[in-house]
Amino acid sequence: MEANKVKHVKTLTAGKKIALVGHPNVGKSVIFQKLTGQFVTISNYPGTTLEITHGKAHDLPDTTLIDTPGVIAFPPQSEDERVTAQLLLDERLDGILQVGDAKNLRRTLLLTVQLAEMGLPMVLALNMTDEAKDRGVTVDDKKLSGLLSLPVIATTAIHSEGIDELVQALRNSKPVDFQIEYPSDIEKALTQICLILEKSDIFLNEPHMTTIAPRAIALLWLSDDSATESWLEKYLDDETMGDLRNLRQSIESNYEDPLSVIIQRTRMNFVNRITSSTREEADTQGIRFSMRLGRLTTHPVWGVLILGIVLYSMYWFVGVFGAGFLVDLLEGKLFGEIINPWITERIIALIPFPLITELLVGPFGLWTMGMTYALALILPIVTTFFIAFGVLEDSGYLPRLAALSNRFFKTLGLNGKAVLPMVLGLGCVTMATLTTRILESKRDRLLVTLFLALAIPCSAQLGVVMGMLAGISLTATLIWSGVVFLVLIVVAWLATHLLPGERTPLMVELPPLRWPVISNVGVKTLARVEWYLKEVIPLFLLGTFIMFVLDQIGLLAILIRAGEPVVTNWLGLPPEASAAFLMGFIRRDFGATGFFVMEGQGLLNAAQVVTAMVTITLFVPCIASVLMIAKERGWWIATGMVVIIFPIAIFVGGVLYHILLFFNWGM
Amino acid sequence: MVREEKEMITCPMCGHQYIPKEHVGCEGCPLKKGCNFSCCPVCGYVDIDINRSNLVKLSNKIFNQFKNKDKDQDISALDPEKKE
Repeated sequence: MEANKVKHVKTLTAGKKIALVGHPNVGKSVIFQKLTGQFVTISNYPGTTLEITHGKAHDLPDTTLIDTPGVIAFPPQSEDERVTAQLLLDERLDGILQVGDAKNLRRTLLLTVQLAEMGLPMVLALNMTDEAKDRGVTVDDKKLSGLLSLPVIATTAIHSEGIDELVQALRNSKPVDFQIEYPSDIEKALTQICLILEKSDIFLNEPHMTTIAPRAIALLWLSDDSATESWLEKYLDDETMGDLRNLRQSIESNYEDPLSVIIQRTRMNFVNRITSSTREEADTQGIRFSMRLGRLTTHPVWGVLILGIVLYSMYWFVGVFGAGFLVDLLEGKLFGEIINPWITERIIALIPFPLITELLVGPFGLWTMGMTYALALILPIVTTFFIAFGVLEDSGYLPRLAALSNRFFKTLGLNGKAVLPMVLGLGCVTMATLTTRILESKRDRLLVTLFLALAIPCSAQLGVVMGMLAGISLTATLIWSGVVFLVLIVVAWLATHLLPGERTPLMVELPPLRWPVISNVGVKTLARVEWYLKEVIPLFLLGTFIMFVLDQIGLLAILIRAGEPVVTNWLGLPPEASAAFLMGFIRRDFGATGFFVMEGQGLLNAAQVVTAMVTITLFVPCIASVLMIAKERGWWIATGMVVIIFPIAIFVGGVLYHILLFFNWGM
Repeated sequence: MVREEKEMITCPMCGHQYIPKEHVGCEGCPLKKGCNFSCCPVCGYVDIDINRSNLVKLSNKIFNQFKNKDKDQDISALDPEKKE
């Protein structure tokens, strides 16, 4: 696909407006300041709370620069992007200055292509070249300029490097002669839409309603951009809008994927080609190895094998070292033999009221249960898990895991973007529920929220589960992960068939794979441990207090007896397990810790541990998650999910127990 | 605008670098009060914000104190006047 010439022509002249467009945090504001100086006007964009900054360019006579909110790509998804899209359509611009990140050339160019298609005079400032050089990345800006038919200036705005050249390029900038060739049926539709638009008031009346090329508007229209649709509705009559809709529908039926995906894929192929011919990375042995390993991590066969090795390493580090060695040291020795006996003795001696001493250091005591669970049992496990998770994050493995899991989710018919919240759910399900906002359809947001609530264990729970299962055998861990995975597949398959919808592909930039930096991992682990303690200690204390009250008023014994048909007869667990499930309503990891203690007391055999772990993994999400689901999806859905998830967890746990019983495994 | 390097977060998912306090995407969150997380404006990945952690601040303070102490000792070892 060659870059062709376009007819739409507009020359940048004095007394005009230039929009600064670019991804968030690429140095747009720094360049804006370098070009305009101190005197700027800040105003809210109509109908939004977003601020738009205008300033007179001091070296470009009678030229106003407009600093737009950060944009990722068009069609717009966020309010920031919508404002920028609206501004490009409405403002009668005379030029565009795109500020891009030299480190992320592919992502930068994907936006460049879209902006260049608008046919306005345009300059690309490839910023942060110093950081790119530090990473061994060099970009041939002259070659890139030739391929894109627009001036490309390398800048390091923060040190004022390249600013003079940028001003010069803006002064001499010409309309961009650039066009990508899309599949033939899309090209035909584009020609027809352009004809309709050129005959309309938008381009017939002088001055034109917009300065951007009809082809760019036609592409936004075909991509189903709502901002363009509302904008066109302002200027076109119903009949013309009807014609445009019919054209789009007729072309949509030719493709399985949405048109926006086909258009973006064509752009991406073009961008990939020019990126590989203009970008070079220092070819050292370390980088070569990292690139080769990086490619293997997303390979359908090697990728799964590497994932297996990663999970096995985590199992040993978190399960065997964290939950075995460290818990034994803290809970068994420090708390069990030194701290707890000392505190218990002092409290009994100091406080003459048995109810208070019972509340503090009894079997359901705030210290002996709540604080001991949080500090001696869970803390060492989650700390080791956070270290392992930090290593995965800092090494750049997570996006590769997302790309690898995307293949699997694709076979289930799930949206590619759904992978991100699911992977994130391994850290914290509550936060991952918030991330479902990035999914475009209501159906996808609902499905992913359900999967997260049902089958994705959070870091703390995963740590406790790994720890308990590591104490039994690797087979126990494999049974647990196999069952949870199977439940996820069945639910995902059912859900995608009951609620069919369009798929949108996962587009994720893969940063280089590198050795994790110990200080980064250490600092993040500290921050996570602080967050975890702040969040769980109050909840653990509340849970312990509720258990204490239930025990004191005799309700706990009644609940345990009432739960026996399910807990003992169906799940095959001792009656005391009801208490752990009750704790699981507060937080699943609190419940899992209850089972951890029961295992330590010799109350559970291997089959019972696996059954308990599967049930508690699939159990109702923690209070924070339920609150988040209610906030994001509404109380009806949150209640509905809890109502669905609870019986599924009990059903699956019971079925597993009876299968294990049948094979006489772990009895 | 002066960007402080230490405030910058590199997203572990997409590699995008951003300053958390510039992105108020969590305004609608019921748990935002005291929240230690930040959301990547590009891919939505929720990461812990180390700038909001008191434990990290404390550890940095201790680390810097040790570092400065070592530096002072090195200087006094080289400076004959300080030696006296």
